[in-house]
Amino acid sequence: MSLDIARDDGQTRVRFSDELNIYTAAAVRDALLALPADAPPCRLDLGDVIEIDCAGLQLVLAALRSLPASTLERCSAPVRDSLTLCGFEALLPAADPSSGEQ
Amino acid sequence: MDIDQAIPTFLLEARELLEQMEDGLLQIENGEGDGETVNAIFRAAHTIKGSAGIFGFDEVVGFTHTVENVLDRVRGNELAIDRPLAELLLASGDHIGTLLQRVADKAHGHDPVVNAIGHDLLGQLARFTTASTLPVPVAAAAAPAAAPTASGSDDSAVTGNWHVSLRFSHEVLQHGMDPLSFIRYLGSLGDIEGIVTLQDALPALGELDPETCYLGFELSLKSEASHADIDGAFDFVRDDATIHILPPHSPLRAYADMLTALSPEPASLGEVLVRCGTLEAAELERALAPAPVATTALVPVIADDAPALPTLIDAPPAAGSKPARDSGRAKTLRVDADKLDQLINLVGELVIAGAGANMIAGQLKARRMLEATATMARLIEEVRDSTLNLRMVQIGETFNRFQRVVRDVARDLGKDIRLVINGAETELDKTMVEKIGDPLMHLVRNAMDHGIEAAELRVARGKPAQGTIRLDARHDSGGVLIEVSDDGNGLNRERILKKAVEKGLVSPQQNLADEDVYKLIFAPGFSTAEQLSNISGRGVGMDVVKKNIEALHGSIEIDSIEGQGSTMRIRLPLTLAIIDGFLVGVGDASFVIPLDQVVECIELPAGERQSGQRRDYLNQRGQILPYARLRDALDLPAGKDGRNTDRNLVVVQYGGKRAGLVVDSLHGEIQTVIKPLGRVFSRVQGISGSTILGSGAVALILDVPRLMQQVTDRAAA
Repeated sequence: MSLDIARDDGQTRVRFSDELNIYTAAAVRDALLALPADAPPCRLDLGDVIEIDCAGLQLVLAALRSLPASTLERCSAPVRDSLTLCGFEALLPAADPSSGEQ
Repeated sequence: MDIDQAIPTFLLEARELLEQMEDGLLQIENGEGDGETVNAIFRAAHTIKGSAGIFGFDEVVGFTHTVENVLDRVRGNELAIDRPLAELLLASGDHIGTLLQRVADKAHGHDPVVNAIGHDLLGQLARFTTASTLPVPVAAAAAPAAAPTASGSDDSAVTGNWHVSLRFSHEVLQHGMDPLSFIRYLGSLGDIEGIVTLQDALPALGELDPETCYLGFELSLKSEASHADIDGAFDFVRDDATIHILPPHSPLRAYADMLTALSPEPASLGEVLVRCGTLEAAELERALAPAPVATTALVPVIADDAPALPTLIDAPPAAGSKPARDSGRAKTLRVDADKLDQLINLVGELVIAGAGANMIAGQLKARRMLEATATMARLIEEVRDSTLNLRMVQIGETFNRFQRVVRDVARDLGKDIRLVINGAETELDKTMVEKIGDPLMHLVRNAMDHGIEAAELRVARGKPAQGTIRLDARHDSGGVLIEVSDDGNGLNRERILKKAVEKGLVSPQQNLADEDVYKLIFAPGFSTAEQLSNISGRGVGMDVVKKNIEALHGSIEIDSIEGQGSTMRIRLPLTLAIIDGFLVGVGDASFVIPLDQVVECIELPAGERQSGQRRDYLNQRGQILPYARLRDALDLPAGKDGRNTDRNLVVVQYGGKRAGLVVDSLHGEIQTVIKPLGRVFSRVQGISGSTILGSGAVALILDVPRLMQQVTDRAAA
């Protein structure tokens, strides 16, 4: 699991890759918590996540709630699938041509 | 837990509900029912449907649903139950019974005959339903059109989808399971048409423990899968989740119960159900509306109990939810009859062992030991009585079955007959109740067919046009007396006699008492019916009736007055397992006389003891008492010293008669466990069973009526 945090255009972009599951959730949470409190609006990029489970899902949900003005930016097929499965179609980025596993 | 294990309970209760339905319909047909009767019928149908849905018995659900729709209109005063409708509903009840039987038989596929009947009935029922209450498959599609009924929270949801509610434990992730995979699996069983993930419990990122599961799910599943299939999806997570599965068209109350169980604020969780498409807003409102008291208290058990078995058990008990119903539930307990039999067997052994201990204490002359065994004996007696009591059931259930029989048969015969039942609360051993059903059925049919005359003839005889058949039961001298009586023809002595002579059963010269003439109808192949009908009169009946009753250690007598009616009087012992007996000795052998048949014991007057000049009766306080010597009756060898003591006479009563039995010695009361005699001894007359004494010796139990009959026959020969 790797987490890239970058800032540009007054936005924080958090890019997740590999697995987002119970094994990585703790590390991801800590990394997200390390974001400075005054960080600008946060975009979560899940386009490179190859696997997500319930732990990952609830982490994403918690992040969307806790981080200021955060939204999802890209979603890979597994993420899209899980979010749809759980009835979170509304959270999916509207047009997302770059989604998928590349 | 496997849901299949709950199926027998479902069937049992569904059949009981069907009986209730039938009783109610018959009441209404007789003009006795009121609004509560209609409600009871409706609830019965409703509960059968609900429970059948839980098990996925779609045939039952579909058919019952239509019946319920009709009943709902009756309840809403849109429709009145007249004769044709009652007839139709009774037939529908029978059809539900057939469908349940198919479930019981694990019948697969379609039975064309059953289908045809069902189809025909549905067609007829459709005339009584409105457009908004069509059979199940259409009802789902027509959902928005379904007008809310005025039935409070007792009606069913419109949705044709299953509702699955999942709350995972916090530890489920640590146990290596992913809740999402269970939902995915559900998706493979059908279409998840609506799902809401509950994240109320999800804390802010800072407080979030990444390895704890915070999510819950409510989903609406469109699926043809059975309850077992859906429930089976959660086999691996059962300990880690609270699962509620509600079948399509569940009663709104079931949703309400689930909401109350899951959330302190059922209304807001209810909104979630609306969001995922399971309930409509109006349905939620009705579901959560306070139920009328009667509904809460009277809704029968299975709708709640059956689903509770596999899933709701895991649910935390909802504080204060429906305490009234819970208390009602706790009062009865279904127990396997075999377990009771085993218990009675053990108690029987205990009785024997207790008698043995008592005897040894007596031989040792250990006074304190004797006291202890006396206390124990008393306790054993109480245990025995309570145990036997467990098997006692009221005969009313059997009697009530006859209401329908009388109604149907009367219609077939074109007679107007009513059945009057008395003493339905009389209790009798369950085995007896089960076994007496067929003989009674035969007697009732006979009474209707041969007994009750055609209406014109009745009127001509000055009787009411409507014939009456009575079923009475009451306790009588340690046994049960059941009477089947009619106010019809009565037995025709001359005709019976003529027939008997024709058949060679008696010779024309014989001079018989009325009683003996009536007894002839119990002879095999005897029937006086001039015209055979399909109800009775094939001559296979009465002898079988008598045989069955005698197999229960019972007896049957006939009382009849020509032109006024006849009464069949059946006497049965209360139980077949244990009796109180009186132990007597003849020579070296011991015999037990059932205690309730013993009146008193007297010394045989010295004059009677001389075997040389025997009389078979004596004058007892001014009354003639016939007596028999047990030694002679059973062909026992003379005593060791070659001299028959024959000192004692036990006065016994049976079937309204009194007689004496001469024996050598009296040993007093004894509790006896009846052990049936082996097949080899089945033809031995006058002995009904055996028992083991405390000493280990065998004592034979006397069948007094038969023994006396045998003595009388011998004397006559």
